[in-house]
Amino acid sequence: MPDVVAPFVEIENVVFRRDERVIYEGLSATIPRGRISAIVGPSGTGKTTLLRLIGGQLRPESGDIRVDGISVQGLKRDALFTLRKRMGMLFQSGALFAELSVFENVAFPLRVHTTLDHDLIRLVVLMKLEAVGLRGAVDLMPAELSGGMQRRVALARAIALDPEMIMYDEPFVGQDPIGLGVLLTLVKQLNQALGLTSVVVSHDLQETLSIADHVIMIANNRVAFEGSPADMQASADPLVEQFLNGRPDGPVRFHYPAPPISEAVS
Amino acid sequence: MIERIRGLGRSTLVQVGDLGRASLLLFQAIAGRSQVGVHWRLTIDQIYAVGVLSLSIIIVSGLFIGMVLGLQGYTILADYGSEQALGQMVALSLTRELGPVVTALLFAGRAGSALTAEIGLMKATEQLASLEMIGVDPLRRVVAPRFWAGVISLPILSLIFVSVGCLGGALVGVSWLGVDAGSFWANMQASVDFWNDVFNGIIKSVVFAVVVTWIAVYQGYDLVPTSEGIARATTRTVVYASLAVLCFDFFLTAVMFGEV
Amino acid sequence: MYSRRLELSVGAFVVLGAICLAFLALEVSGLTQAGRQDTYRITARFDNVAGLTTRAKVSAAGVTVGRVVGIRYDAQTAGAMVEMDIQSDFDAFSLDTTASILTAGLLGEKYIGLSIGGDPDVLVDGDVIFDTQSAVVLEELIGRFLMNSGSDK
Repeated sequence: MPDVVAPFVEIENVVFRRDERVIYEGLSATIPRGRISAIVGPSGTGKTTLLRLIGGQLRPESGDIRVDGISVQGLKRDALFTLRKRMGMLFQSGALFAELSVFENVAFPLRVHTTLDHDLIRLVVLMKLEAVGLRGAVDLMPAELSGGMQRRVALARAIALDPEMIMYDEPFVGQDPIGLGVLLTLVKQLNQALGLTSVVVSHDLQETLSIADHVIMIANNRVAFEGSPADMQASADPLVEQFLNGRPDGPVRFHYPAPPISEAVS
Repeated sequence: MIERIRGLGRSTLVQVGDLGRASLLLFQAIAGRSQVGVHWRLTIDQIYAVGVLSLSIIIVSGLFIGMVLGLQGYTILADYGSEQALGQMVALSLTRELGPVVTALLFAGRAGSALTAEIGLMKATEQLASLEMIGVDPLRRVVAPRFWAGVISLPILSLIFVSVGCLGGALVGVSWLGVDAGSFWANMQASVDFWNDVFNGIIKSVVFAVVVTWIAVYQGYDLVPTSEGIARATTRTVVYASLAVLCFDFFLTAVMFGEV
Repeated sequence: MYSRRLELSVGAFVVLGAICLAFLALEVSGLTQAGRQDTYRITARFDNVAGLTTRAKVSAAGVTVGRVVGIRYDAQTAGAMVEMDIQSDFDAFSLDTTASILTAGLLGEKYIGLSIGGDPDVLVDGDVIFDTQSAVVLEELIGRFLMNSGSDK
């Protein structure tokens, strides 16, 4: 695998705090263009937060995040909205607009951002729905769909404007094996067919690693590992090892920090 | 003691911060350019949701409050032999006070809580974040139409409430208790002044509309996106909005009718 | 999505609001009669206006012809100056018209009654009536009655 791919997103020395809690302390990573990058790590390490930082929904305390060379955190509102047209994001719950039909949901970004006429919009929407295999569901309401189908509709909506990058926030959570297989295939197909830069946040480790070209592991407020899945498997780092093998105790403690039990009970 | 003072200071800071954020929200939502055509349709949708759907509760309560006023007023006024002033009493209490205030309270309970819950649910299901990522400002797309719909709907509801209330008073007073219809309406017309009473009532109603809707959309937009957070924010909307309406009512009454 | 029914019902809602506004204006506040017509202002000086308020009606022969718009104390004449807006339709009050403060019923509200004299000239904007009869103060009346009945014995 060629390692020299131009980065699409560069994250440099980012510090981020939520209230008093430190989320990142000098986090640096790159997301290569046109590849599938997986962001993995224990729960509660703020993997979703990283996506929100890239999307400009949150601002870091210090550090720099560049998307295609543009610093996100310095952007004004309007410029940020322009940049976001080049990114799609698939939220954990799908986040379909409940009061709109499947068709209107996918048509929504097109209606807002383009001046395409009615027929053209219909054509594009049907094409996008075809890509996720749900053209037959075009007239249903989101509430009539299963969770996995909602996510696929949301995916069709995320790619409606032909973005250059798409970010998946926990796309595999709560899926049965078939639904999971469908989503895995979709992520891979979209990446290959459209050359989309893809970022997958997940803690379904094996599934994610099976399609990823690049892995970023976050633990203890910083990047614990960055490289190819093969390198990760071979890594001797105790933290990576603990995570890969799912051991309850190791560098990531089983116990929440507390004074020794002898003090607490005496 | 020191700890108490410190606590007071801290909560004051939180309150002021809340007020600042709420003002910023309102400003960003309604200021600046927006796609008028699209947003007008959204506003009509919302007028349906907060206005039209509140009609039944407003009409029923207006009717009953008017009837109660007619009944109570009659028993009191009959002691002084001045039943013919019943129209005046019913109309003045409704136009000046009860109409705007009761409508605003009902509106806070019926539409305000629904607004908070709806926006809160959109936040909890990441629909707001999703809008942002599509490059649409949720403040203008979600908050602004709801705000305007509230500001337009409440005064209309209040007018309907007052009208139905007057009719309810007339029903009890004239049809059941036998007050002379002519003197009932004549007394009402002689004492109610359009600009001083009806129009001031409308102004009150507009102020209440701004306050209630603002609180409702802010609570929805700012809540903690969990089911518990939505429940709490909904309660807060009703409590804060009701208190704010009563408080503003006192000051508005003092300014409008205090000197007369 | 944007169904016709929804738009219609919102339209009906707004129309209902307008009808109610018209109802309140015409039926409840009687805007047509006492509306924003042209008025002219005359002033009357009273020794005592106890109980009279602004917006009290001004009537002639029992017909409402105007409203009291201002009451102030006049130091020069040591009396109360009452300003009244009279509707322009009623423009035939003679110069020697007298004004008195009357009470509607025993405990009712105070209003001003105008009685027309015989002078051929009429009152115009800015004129002042000095020939007036002050408010009847109930307490004084009772006091006088008690004194009189006392002296009769």
